[in-house]
Amino acid sequence: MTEHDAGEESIRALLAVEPLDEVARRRLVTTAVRTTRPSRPGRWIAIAAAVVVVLVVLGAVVLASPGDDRRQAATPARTPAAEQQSGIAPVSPSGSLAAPAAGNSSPRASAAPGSVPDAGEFGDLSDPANLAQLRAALTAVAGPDTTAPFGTTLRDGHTLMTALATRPCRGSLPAGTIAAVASGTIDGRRVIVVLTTTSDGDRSIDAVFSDPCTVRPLP
Amino acid sequence: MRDDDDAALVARASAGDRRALELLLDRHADRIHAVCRRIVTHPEDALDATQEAMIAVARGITRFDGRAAFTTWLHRVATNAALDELRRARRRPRPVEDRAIDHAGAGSAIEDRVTARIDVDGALRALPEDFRVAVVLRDLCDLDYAEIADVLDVPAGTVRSRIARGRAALAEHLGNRTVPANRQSDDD
Repeated sequence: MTEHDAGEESIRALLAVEPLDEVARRRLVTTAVRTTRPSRPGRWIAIAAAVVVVLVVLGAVVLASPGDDRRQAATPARTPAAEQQSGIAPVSPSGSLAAPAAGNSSPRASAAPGSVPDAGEFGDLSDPANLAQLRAALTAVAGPDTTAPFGTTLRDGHTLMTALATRPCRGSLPAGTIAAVASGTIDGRRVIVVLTTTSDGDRSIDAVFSDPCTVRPLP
Repeated sequence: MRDDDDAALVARASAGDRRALELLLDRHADRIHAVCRRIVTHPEDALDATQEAMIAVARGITRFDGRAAFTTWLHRVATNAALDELRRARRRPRPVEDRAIDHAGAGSAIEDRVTARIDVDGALRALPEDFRVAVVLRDLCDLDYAEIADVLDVPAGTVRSRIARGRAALAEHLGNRTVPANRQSDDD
């Protein structure tokens, strides 16, 4: 053994520390382990599930709320129960109107926006000539095949349908399918003209006023 | 084999296995305590430091990234806990009998050995902390210079210097009985 080896051994012997006794060791280890919180994956899963449920419920509430046809259009698969609750009659993908819900005293016409043609702007509808043009145009664009006459550009009634959706009196429209819409003025007030095809095949042309919101059949 | 076992236990403990953590701490409890005991030098304070180190390991095991060896990380944690305990101890009043032990008059070999064991705390206490830590990690924990440099985050040359000067000071404080004072480094 060299002097260095002997020196190294002696210093190691000096520095050596006796092992912990079993009681002290157990206490130290137990205390240290106890400070760590056990992982609880189940708790995180439950929190995540709760967040998802809340988001789904919120989404359903927002989508089911009345007054926004864009959202209605985005949810063609909504349930009849939800539609009855929200006061909106069910609409088929083609825009036809189902029968009003039982117990709903105000028959309403409705249609999916974008599926209803806009016959155009007809000015003062108190003028019989304008009114006649309106009738002819509505009848033309809302023909059996819902195609415009040859040479006519068929406009999308999305804007008017969206405006109509915001008017609370739309529930006073006759029950049926909104076949076409148009616009004009009556007594200086802007109106949305709605051509509704009722379930028995009759057609009704009504003007929807705003401020105050009223529905008046056109002669 | 032990390193392999450590790696498996570390992996399980990192994943939240408390039983693995318990086994790991139990396995290294003596090592942690030895580091703390020789750096802190006071038995009760050393136990406190050991507890703090174990808690740090338990809480930090999930962040152990495996880039360093587990034992290197363990020594770093233990060393830091011991140094923290030293700083806390300096702010506490200490009874007179703890500060110095007069070992004059020791005679027999057994007495010499007992006295030397008792006195080693005094000798270590007399060393600057940097030297003490380096000597403890080298001569107690048997870490090489690179590992000590990693633990202390200083260059290996600094480690070499601290060990040499620490050993010399230790020999001087112990009356040159056991440590060759002119010994520079066993790795030279």
